[in-house]
Amino acid sequence: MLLQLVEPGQTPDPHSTPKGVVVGIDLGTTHSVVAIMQGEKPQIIPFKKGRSLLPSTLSLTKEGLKVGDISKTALSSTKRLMGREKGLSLSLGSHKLSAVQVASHILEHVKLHVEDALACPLEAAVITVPAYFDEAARIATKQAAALAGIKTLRLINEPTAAALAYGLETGAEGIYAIYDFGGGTFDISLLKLKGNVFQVLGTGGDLNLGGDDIDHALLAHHQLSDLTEARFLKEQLSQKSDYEGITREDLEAVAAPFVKRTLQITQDVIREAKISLQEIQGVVLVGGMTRMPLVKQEVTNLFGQQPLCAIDPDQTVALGAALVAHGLTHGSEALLLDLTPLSLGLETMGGLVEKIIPRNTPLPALASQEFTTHEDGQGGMIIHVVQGEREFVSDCLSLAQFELKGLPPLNAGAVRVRIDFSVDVEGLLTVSAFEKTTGLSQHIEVRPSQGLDEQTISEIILESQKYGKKDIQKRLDAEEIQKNDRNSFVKS
Amino acid sequence: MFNPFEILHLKQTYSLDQDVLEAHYFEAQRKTHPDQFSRGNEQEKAEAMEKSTAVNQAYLILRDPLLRAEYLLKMAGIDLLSNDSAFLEHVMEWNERLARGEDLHPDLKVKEKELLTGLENAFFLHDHEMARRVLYQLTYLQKLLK
Repeated sequence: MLLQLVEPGQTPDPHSTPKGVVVGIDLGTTHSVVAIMQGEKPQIIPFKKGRSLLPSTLSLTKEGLKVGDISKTALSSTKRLMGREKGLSLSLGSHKLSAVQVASHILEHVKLHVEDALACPLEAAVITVPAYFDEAARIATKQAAALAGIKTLRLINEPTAAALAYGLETGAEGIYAIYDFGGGTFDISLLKLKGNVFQVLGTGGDLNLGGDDIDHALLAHHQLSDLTEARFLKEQLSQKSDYEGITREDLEAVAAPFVKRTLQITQDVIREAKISLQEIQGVVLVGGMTRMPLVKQEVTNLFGQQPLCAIDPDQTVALGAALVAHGLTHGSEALLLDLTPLSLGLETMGGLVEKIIPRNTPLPALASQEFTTHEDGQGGMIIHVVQGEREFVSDCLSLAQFELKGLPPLNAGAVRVRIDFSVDVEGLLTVSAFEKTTGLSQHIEVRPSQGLDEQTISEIILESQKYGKKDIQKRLDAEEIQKNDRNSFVKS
Repeated sequence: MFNPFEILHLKQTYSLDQDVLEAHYFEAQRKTHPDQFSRGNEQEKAEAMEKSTAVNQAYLILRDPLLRAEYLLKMAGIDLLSNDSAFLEHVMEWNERLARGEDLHPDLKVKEKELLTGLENAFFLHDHEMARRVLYQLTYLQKLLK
């Protein structure tokens, strides 16, 4: 690579540097896919041996860290830990890595591969995330891209990307359900497609429900040596009715509870969006798990119609992301109107959550709420921002915590503080606080999206302990258990 | 002053065709959505964010019959009702039936539909007193339905 030398005091002319390409990257739990616009259509950029999928793994070889190997010692499915780790590190030989670092290695591999294949620098990318990804996981994804030297043009939800690829390819209009069952996550989105507008009507999912869970269950129920074998068996039995003495019925008995859970979530989302099944024009299948005959059958039964498979379920998301990347850099007729997947709120008295922006609010969104002091002469107010649907703070994801200091020393209830929540089109939050009671306006702005690095997190935790919040420790303990739980998805 | 009708270029009336609302919403988002300004400068991006947010807020108010009615009553300087003794009879009857373990859902749905028509008529007749009474009942009913 050539370095551009610049005299001190001079800045290089931005127009003199060659413009690179923009791509769409589907950073999946088990596989990653990259696509680019070629003329009017998005196209997959194949990896070595013409494969469109890159295993989302990281392993240690004699040459160093290697992406895409499916050896037994490789780290895999680390996407499930994104935004969840708070100091957790994964071991790979003597290397200690976070899930963000693993993702950044995968993204860097994609970047180098694209630059090699197209002989052109990669300028920026649209990266897809599960619609149900929370704030912390979205930020972690952006951090991974930044570490890999990739500028994120925009994060976009996987089902929305799939709908875009499908809609623009087929010219479909009406209400469509995107059923996305991948290796690590399940997402269901309902979209209205109308004259190049893609309006998300409702979304739901489970960040810990994917093909990996079925692999684990298979391993527990049958005499198999490891997860690689379990996955292989699952794939074989999706094509054949029998493999080495284990039947498709055996697989389906193991998979059924997981599939049932996806159907429950789907029904909830349809009900919440106040849409009847008859209004749904078509069902688009996305993700590797939708290759399983049981999944296809159950989805067909639920919707009373055959799902659509016009585009390869593994490629749809990346193709849609490439369309968005092109649209954002060259202009586009298509318009994506997305929603908040999870409610955003604040902690109030008694550890309860006051929802400020409910889930399924169209983006960008802004909402305000006024709070008062509950003690005479209370000088400060702790603002604790959480995400989730549950009533208690302890059951939601903590995004940020800060103290609003220097409040006027008035009686309880006399000080009024307004808190603004603003969510941008990527689903990222900015919190502002204003105190105007005395005319002394105080304004503080917190962006969890910019401050959630590990250091800030530990500082936030230290702060909250200083204020004697015992519940925080309780929560940390609970998180520790969950963390260990999730950790079991990672081979070491 | 935030006016959702103005933001979406719609006539300020209660009666509103959902397809027309949607068409106006899409048109307004096409002009303001931040993705349309991804190549713009920081100021253009910030403006787009602000305008597109306002379009969403307007859409959320106008697509909900109760919020739409509430906004129109406020604009007319009418205070919302905080109780309605005539409606209490219904509430007591429902509570009794609930206590007997009856499924009220189908009946409440019928009542909701009836009240929504009542709200439409009240605004058509410019009868704000009736509008605020029906709005109070609808608000109560929706809480019950949840």
